[in-house]
Amino acid sequence: METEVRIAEETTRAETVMESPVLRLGVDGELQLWCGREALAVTVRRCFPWSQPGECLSIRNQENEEVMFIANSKTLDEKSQEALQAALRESGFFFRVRQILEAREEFELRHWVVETDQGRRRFQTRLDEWPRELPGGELLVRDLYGDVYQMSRPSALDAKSRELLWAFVE
Amino acid sequence: MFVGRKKILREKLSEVEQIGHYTAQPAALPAALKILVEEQTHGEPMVAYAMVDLDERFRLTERWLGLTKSWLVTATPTEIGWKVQTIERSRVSRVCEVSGLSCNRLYLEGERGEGLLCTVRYTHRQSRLVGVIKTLLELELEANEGIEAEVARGKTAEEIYSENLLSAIKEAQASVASHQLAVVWRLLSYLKPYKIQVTLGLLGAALMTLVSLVPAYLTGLMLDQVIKPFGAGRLSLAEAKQMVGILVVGLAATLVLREFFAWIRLRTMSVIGEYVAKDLRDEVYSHLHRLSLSFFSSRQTGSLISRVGSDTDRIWDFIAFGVVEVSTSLLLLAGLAGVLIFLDWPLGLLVTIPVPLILWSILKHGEQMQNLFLRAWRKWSQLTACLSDTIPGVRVVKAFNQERAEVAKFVHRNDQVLGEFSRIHETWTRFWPKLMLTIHGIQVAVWIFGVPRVLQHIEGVKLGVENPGGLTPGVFVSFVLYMTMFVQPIEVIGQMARMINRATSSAQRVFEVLDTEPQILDRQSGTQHAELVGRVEFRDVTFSYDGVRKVLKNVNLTVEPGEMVGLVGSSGSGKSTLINLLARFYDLDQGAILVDGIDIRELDMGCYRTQLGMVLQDPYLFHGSILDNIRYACPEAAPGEVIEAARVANAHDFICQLTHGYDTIVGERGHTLSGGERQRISIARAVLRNPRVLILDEATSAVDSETERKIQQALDRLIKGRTVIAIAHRLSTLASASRLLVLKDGRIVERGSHAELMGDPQGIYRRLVDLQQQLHLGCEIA
Repeated sequence: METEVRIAEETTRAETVMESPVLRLGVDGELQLWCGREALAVTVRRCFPWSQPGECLSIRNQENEEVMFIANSKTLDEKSQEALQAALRESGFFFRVRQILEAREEFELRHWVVETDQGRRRFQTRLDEWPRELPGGELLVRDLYGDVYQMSRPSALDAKSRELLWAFVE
Repeated sequence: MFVGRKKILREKLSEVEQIGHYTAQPAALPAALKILVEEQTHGEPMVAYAMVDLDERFRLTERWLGLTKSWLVTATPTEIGWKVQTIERSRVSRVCEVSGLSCNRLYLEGERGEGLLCTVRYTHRQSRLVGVIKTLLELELEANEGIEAEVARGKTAEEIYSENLLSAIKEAQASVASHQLAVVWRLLSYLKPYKIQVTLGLLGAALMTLVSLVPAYLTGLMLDQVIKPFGAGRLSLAEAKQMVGILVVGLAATLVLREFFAWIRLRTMSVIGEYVAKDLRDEVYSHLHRLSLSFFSSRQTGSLISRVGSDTDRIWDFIAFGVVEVSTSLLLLAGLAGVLIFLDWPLGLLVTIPVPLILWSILKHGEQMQNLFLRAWRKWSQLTACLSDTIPGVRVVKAFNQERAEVAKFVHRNDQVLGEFSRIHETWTRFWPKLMLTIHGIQVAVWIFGVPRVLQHIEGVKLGVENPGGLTPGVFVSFVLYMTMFVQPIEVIGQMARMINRATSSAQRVFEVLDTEPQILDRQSGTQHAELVGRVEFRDVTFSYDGVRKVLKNVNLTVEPGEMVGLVGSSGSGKSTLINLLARFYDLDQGAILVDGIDIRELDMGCYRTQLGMVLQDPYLFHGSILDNIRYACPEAAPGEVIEAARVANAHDFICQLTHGYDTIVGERGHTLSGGERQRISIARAVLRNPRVLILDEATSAVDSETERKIQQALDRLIKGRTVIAIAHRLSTLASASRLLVLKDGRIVERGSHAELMGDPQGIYRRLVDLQQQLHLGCEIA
């Protein structure tokens, strides 16, 4: 496999040299790129995680080099698609905010308390870290640690959440 | 002052409180779990642990991952307690981490055939904590030293946990949140050296406030005791004139006194404010110079500058005016309420009862305005981002013909700013007239309820009733006058919260600098080594910046006096760290650096650094003349010595070509000179200093070949007779080095002369030389 990957580097894309490469999940949840009888541990990165999340996926080896590029995952076999989706669920996981309970300033930080699909979460952002509006109208917030929170379009939120978000939306 | 400060510091949020406040997660490993773990690990305590907060279905959970000396421990909550699993650490053969948007996965594998030992998922919040465990396991796999090193450093698992969990908050916040009142008290403690002046200022303010109440009273007195009795014929003209005279003198004296007390207050407090701000600026600036480089590398320059500048200015504003304004406003309000109730309690209550409601409405209005300002600030940030993006990148804008698009973007954002500020003005201009209307409404109510009582009083007097009741015209007029005085203190108190917030924020930012202890401490009785010979020895030097990942590992190196040693290696190999340690910008974790056989920690730092010279990759020149910059370390150097140093540095000729010669002002960071010229001035500076030990850090990088030749000539002259440690990516610049050392991952992996190292075809040095030659050839062909 090592050799094949090196060849892949020379030709820039693994898919051009590997005969029908397939993706599978290992026992530890690791995404594996199989070519023949050899497996390579890989990770998946969305090229456009917010604007076009379903397209253009980069499969990368442990040295963070691209070994495969998937323009459209539907071109893969069914099991590969399943493995890819499972890996994407993990690598693309973020907190979906259902309700905003608090958004207040606190000495150089903005303090948020939100209700997410995963439960209640408290986090902080810098005062000049403004929520970013996504193409669909949702808002994206990144906290001090780097965790990502996606808030629904304000119109889909309750009145209190809308009121708390008012200063941050157009 | 210092006793007060310590007392206040204790009132800061503890780390346990901070973890609860910011993350709402446990402040430490649960005690019951700790006991359970120790039972299963034969009494071994945890060396480091982390909470892992996601389960396999990405739900938030509270699981734990930890390390003891011999065991890896995982704990999962169950309905009846904890399920603890232990794995012998010796079984771990591979540690892997996969990072995602908000979910990371760490998995540990055993030897071949044993497969997966453990998988945990966690958010970025826990990344540093899990990172500590990962690093310790990796270090152990590499060199069998992870745990031992950590234990030797003496940090408990709890300390590692809280430090790493709070690090992001601490980096983002200038200071940990303190109780606001504690900060105000600490700030006020800076007034202690000026006790007499402060007492005088406050006394002046209090007397001014009280005296302000007198004119309205005198007006009422004039009506009731002079005009009315005179109109009723109870006073003769002469008596009336005499009383008017007394009252006018009293009024004049009151007004003069008021302005006198106002002068005392303003003069005293504004000057004290300046003194306090000056004290703070001096203290902060001198403390900044005592702090270690690590402090500066974790803070933005702008943030530090603002602490010495605008923050101390805000504090002056608070002390000079805020403290007095607030206290006098409160005093005035209380005084007014007291006087009004004293004059006529029903009308007094009518006026004073709505005051808290008015204050509350001002507070609410403040909150609304804060939200509006937040929106406006966001829009303003977008507008300024437009400027800070396009002005430095104007060449790109022009090259891609995007001027119109950029102007359109700016106009759009400017329109949005206008919209937000219009909204702000609309809101406050609507609120204040309404508020004033309410206050006027109270005035009207006073008329409605007061005038009939005045008439009742006059009627009673007309009828000759001995005690006519009602309200005398004088008291009524006094009331009306006092009511006009209510507005100003109400406004001040309405803005009090905002004023205190601003001042305490600034104060906390200033105090954070003052509370940071320098990591490099100069010994009080350090050895004053007047003239070093220049023998440098690194003895078993091990160092890490973050306390976990080692940047240098057991480095041993001796450089003889007058010898030049070249350091070679890829980025991150530890070269710059080595010279930072030699300059004592950081102190070692393990081992020692000796100069002339003395540990540099034993040497007087000032004395040691005077014998150390540095020529850095990015030469830093201060705003001032070339002469000032060359003489920076030796201000007493004669002009002839400066010229000689410049000649040695190949700088004299280009300096002479400048119209103002050595008196040319080089501008901030020397921006008026080219990179090569700046470098030669910095070499001249080093020449003038005449150091025994010289550090060259990429001194010839990023300059063209001709400039490099000139700099190299200058360096060749500079290094003669000195101990030199040089770093260079361009290996040709190390031709004068008697020995070359190749660093990789914090260790010296190759050492020898150029010829010796070139003799090893598999060596790193040989590979680097070959690579550079290929690149050079490629460039020439191109």
